Amino acid sequence: MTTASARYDDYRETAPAADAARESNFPNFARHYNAEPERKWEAAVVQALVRLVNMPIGWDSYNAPPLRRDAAHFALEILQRVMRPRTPIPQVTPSAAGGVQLEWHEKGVDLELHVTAPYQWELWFRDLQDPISQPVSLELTDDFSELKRPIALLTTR
Amino acid sequence: MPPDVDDGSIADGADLLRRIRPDQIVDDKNLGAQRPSSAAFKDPTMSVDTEPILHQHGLDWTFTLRNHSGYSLVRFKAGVARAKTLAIVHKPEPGNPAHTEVIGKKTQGVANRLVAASTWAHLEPL
Amino acid sequence: MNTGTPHNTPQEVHRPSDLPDFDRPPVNEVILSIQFAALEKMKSAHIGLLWARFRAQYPDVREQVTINAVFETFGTPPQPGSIRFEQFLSPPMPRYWFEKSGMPDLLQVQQDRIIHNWRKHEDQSIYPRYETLRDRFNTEVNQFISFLDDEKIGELRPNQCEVTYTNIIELPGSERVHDRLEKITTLWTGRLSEKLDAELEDASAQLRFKLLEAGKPVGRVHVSFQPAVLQSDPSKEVIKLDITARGRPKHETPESAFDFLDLGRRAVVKTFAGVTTPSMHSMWGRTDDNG
Repeated sequence: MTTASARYDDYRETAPAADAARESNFPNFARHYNAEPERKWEAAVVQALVRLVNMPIGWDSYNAPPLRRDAAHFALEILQRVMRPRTPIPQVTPSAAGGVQLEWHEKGVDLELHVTAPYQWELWFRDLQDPISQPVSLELTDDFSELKRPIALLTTR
Repeated sequence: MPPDVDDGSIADGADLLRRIRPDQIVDDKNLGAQRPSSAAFKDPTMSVDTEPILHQHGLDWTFTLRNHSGYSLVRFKAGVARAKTLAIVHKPEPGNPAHTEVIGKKTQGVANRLVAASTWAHLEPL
Repeated sequence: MNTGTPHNTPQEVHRPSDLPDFDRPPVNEVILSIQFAALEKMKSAHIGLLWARFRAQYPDVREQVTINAVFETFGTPPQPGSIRFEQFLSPPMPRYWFEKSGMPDLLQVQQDRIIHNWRKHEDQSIYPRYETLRDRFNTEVNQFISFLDDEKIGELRPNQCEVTYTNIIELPGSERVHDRLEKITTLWTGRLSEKLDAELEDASAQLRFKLLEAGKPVGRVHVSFQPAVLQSDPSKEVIKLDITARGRPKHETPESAFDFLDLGRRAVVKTFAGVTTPSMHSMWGRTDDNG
């Protein structure tokens, strides 16, 4: 992994760094500990994000800018943190504000994650099977805990 | 440049037209229908065409879709946007006398309100 | 909005008196890093213009692979992604090193990061202390902001900051570090429940701490112990102790970014003292009254 270190070569590490160790030397441990999910969704989402990053200015026939790389990266980070093995794959929608919206509309759940930049995203969630619940509309930054319940509903219903 | 002030010249009952790209259409399994994504309404200075103004110039909704093959079109009332404290500002452009902007921050709640108020003027087969 | 005047007014920063202090800390490298909203308008063609502003101090330039954006997030368990997003995109503008050959200071710039490194070189570099490095970085960031203003590239909006200290820890004499890890770190007792028919070859450890302010997480401290050897004497085993404090500034401003760097440095120094032993502190010449 590329790092910011620029050290002079007066020493060298003699064991793999921990991330590499976790992924290569201890694959079974990692799979068990992280309950490594099937990540078919990841390829589909990455493909969609790459397409959005490469779109021209005005892609929506108005003046929308393309998706920024770092916003796309953060959107992927959100999913990598919350997706579970049977969570449906989200639709990846380009946003007229220049961001990206990851959304699900199934199983009685409306869930939208609108990402415009790292640490700048909004959540919209409705449980249509709960007649008394109100929509949840939040502006969020670094805490993903609000996603636990909607993702659980999407995954287990 | 004139200020972005809603002078009320566009009535609450006026229909506003917005183009929707194919990849901004959601297959909503809860509704059992295709509808625009709220992401299509998130632009803080969202461009639309005011339908009554098109009519005044002998035009109709097909004008908004000219040169945009593959796009669909929704309409929603100006009053719905104003109810969410958005400003409706008529800004004619060369070649488009009906160009209007719906100005203001669109939270997910506001954008979804616009979705709920929208109907298809034209839905392009996907 | 950038006005062309320094946004981060240099202020005299004094070492907090309650921080652990050492005469001879085993510091090998210090990295101060500010990640910001990607400046999509900044292209490789701009680098020559930027370098001209630093050339007197850093006469050499090198291209490097970009560093990926990193995010500290909370509320979910850690889960490594299996696909690196960047490999599917055309390469962004490279990362550039501005340096002077053989000298300890280095400035790194890419589309979404600016970094100042200080690194020890052949026992000749005396660690100048955080306050001095912070001043240097502050000046460089202000010069960078002026450049962005003059070339109309965009605004610097920091979204993540990092302070990293890399320490190379040796034991005096012929003792193997891995035979005496309990002498180096408070995290190792050296006591196993069973006598093994095997000899410890080396050990690694990773720790993560949440940085809290008023009970809310504002970042993390990452600690890594890894085995290493000296290039000058490959038989000499050492421990590489990396401590990184990383988090979001309160506001997307350079001032707030430097506030986080100060907070991060404090966390790094206290963590360093916390995970190493009093006997090592003596060896490093601990001078504060808190040890």
